[in-house]
Amino acid sequence: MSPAPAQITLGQWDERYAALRAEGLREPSYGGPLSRHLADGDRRLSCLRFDNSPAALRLWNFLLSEEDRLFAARREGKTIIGTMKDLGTVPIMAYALEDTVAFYPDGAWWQPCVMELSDGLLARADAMGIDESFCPVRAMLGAFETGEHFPAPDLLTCSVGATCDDFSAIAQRLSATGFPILWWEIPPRRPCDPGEAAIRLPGGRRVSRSQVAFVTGQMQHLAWAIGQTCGKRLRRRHLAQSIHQANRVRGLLGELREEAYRAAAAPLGAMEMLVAEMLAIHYCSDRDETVAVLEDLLAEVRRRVAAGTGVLEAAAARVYWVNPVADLRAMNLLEECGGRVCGTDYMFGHALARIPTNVPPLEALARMALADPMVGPAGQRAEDICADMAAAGAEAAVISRIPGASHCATEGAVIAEEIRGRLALPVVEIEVPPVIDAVMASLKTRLSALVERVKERRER
Amino acid sequence: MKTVAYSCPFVPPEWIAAHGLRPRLLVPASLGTGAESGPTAGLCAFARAAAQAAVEDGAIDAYVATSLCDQRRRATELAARHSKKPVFMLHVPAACRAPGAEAMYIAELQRLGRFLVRLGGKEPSRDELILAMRRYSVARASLAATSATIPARQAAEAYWNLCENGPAGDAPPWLWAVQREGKPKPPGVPILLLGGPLTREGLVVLDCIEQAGGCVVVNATENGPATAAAPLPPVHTKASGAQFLMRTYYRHIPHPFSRPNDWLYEWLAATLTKCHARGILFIRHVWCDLWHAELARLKACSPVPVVDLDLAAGDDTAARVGGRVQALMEMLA
Amino acid sequence: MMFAGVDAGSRAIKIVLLGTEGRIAARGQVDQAVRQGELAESLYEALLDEAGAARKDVAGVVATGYARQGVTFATRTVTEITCHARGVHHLLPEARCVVEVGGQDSKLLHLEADGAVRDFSMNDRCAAGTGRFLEMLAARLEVPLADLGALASQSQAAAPISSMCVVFAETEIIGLLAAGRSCPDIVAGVQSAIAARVAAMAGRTLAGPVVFTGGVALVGGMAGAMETTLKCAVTIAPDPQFTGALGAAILARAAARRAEGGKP
Repeated sequence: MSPAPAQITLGQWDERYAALRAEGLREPSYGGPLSRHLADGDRRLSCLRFDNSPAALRLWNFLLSEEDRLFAARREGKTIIGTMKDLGTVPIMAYALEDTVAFYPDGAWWQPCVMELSDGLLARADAMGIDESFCPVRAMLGAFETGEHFPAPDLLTCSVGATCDDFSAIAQRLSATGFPILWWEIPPRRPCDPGEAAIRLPGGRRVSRSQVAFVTGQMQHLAWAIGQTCGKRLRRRHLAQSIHQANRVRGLLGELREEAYRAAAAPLGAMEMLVAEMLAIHYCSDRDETVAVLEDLLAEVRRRVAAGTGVLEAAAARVYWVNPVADLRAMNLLEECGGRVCGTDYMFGHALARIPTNVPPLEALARMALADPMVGPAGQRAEDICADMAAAGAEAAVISRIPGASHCATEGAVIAEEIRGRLALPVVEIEVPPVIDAVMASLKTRLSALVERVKERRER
Repeated sequence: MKTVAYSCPFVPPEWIAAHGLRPRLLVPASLGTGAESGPTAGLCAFARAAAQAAVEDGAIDAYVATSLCDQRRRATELAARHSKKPVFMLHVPAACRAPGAEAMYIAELQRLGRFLVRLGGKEPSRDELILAMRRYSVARASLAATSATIPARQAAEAYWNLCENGPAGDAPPWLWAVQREGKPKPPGVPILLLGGPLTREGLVVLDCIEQAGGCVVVNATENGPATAAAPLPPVHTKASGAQFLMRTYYRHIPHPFSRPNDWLYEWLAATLTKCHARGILFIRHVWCDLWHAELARLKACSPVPVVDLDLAAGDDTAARVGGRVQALMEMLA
Repeated sequence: MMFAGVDAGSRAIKIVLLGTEGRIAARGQVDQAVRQGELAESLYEALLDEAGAARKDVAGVVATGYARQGVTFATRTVTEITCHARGVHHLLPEARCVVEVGGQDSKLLHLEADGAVRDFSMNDRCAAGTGRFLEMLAARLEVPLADLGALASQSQAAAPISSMCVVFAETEIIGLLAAGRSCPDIVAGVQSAIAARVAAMAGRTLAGPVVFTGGVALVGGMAGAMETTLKCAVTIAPDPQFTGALGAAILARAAARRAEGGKP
């Protein structure tokens, strides 16, 4: 008989794993007990509480084996494309071609957390003049230097323009140290001027046709460059098929979010949901497997919802979470304080929306890129967050600041103001460093106070 | 005549002037005290001060901001959130080698033109624009020649004066002001100034260098005279006025925001050779990632010593600057 | 004839009296306080007495340190960057890199073979990279500054400290104490944090030998933390708290010699 849904420690997972194996658990090639990753240096795992389902085990093993997959791809002679500051657009082009793998070098920002700074990546970035006043994504510089976390890609792309200064500066530093980058421009999304023809983006915003045309031009150039790198031509039908596959992932994530966030009792913890949502932008270097992982997870969530069970009590405060965290422990912490995540804006809401299929593929991708919440004004992002919060029945919001990220300096105030003004809900702004141990007490106080306010409001 | 303010070197004042409006370079008085209301942590104090001044100054009718950096874009958005003052966001493409980048800058200037017309300006003909560009170009050249003979503060103020009052008449007020002062440029160890924009209070940097025995041979701070637009080339092609603006601004001004930003380093190498500077004082605002990230590369590739000077709101500017400048001069002694 | 170097730092005033031949005639220090000028004057007088000299016997006085402008009897002021470089070079001519952590700021100097400063980086923005951090820590743990080294040596695993700001870092320390982290681990964490901020100034290539100077070099465990972070051997300068003043005195002597037309 399966145990009830619960969040368990790494040690408890070893026992659970043994039991599952005894019951005949079938695993993919990257399967195995979670604790093996601890032995590989992922020390942070010993501080986290994981979902106890086989689907969650698969999710974690998939996430934590990406390095192996990338190095295997290199050995197999596949083309590897690093898509920087790209939240779900260019990988779709890369995966349109056979034997091509895309990955997200910015994802290295998790390494200092997962390895509890033992990897030395931040120190390497320090030595390159990129100190802690920059976003923790600077760990990427160290990862490129050591070559231990991913192989050197055959092509590196990076979007600039309406992107964070810190990332743009970090990528420029990388470029200057001998990693050539194909830069592409994403202009700030703006409303149409009087008389300008408008185009509707996924998510409902309208922009000028000229902006869409410009970004489509960038997409054409990227498609050409990817084709050149792979020695193949990126054809329209390949792209259409790739968009179809991307929409499959997005559709699964949409269903998962709907089921998990709307359920009375959270069927899955915030940490697993964060990891799952992140798959939309980088697929952990294997898109087909991403689909399988998400299907498993969705099935588990549906089973739990149908049974009326969850990993947290139904009375947990429904909290909307803004921006991703480097230290996953922060997500556990909210739940320990009596909250549950009921909706998120991890800065890539557009990567969860369906890509239009009734326009040429490159234009469809251009529309997606322009729908990125980070390329528009913070006020628009705040409006979208408020709408999402209202639909999710959120009772409070956590705005998580990323240390050093240029957008966080101002947008938190804008988002908080909108939430208070439109929804009259409590908001707390926190800053989450790569490892939160030292600020745990202060974070706990803030999150507990937020949950207490929600409970008070319920009583009133 | 309506006043249209701007604070970014990629906004051509002649484009505003040609529309019959008054361009005004916005130079904040200072970086502030650090105790301002609203967000300050993580926010570039210059971006904040400029956006705030643009919105609050009653003598400014509209503000042209740029997307040169995320800090500017977001600081402007924050400051303008509860203001009815017209604000235009000019996108200056960062991926300078990407297809369509130059065309986009031109398209953005044209869009700015339509904004200026809506503000009450009149669309200039090509000849009217070229005439305005020529006037500015001549004035900048004249100022550059004069700057070589006057103290650095005076040269910087004269340049700002030109950007505020325009190049009007035979005896423009900015040149008149320079000549009236009549102070000679002090001799000293040649220093190149590079980095973020200065506030009016920040001009103390120039004084400190000269007092410590230095001589500012190039002021290539973001709003300094050395990073102004290129001289207007001979106008015998059929290129549009906006294309000339693109060539003299977008293609010419060295800046770290370009991706890649090799042009900044090419320009710097050529300028160092020409001006014989023996040291570089590198100015940046705390939380300005774009300039900050260049420091290590600059130190690695510069043939002369580079001293880093970071500025923030609430600083005792004179004291901080004095110490750094003295150290630079001691190194070069 | 004598020469004086005065290092008016944020925590203490240090003075070195140097004889013509380069021998130290007297030296001393006094804690910094409100009347900085008077303190410097009285220390100067006491040292002159000790050396059996009078003011007229001193041919030049160079003041350095953040309060150098307040040293009214100085004939010249020079930054602590140049003075530390000169002082360390005098004591350890092989030094090519100097790390100086003071109460107010920290510096990393790259030296030429002749002791001239080739390049320097300075952090006076983030107090979590300076001696002020250690002072705050000692006060919070209620232990003398001098005992921090002994505590750090008992650490099992340094606690991570992430804040750039001492005020927030203090909150982190309170949080760590509340979470039951041991004092030795916290001290080791703070020392690592200071060393990490110095390493950030060092860049990718650190040419040694590296010499550690300034008052913080005397705090036990700090040199070890520097070695671990910089990944190279670090030598503590002899009497590290006096290298700035010594360098200033050497510069005073050099200036006097130049004025006489001799070799500095």
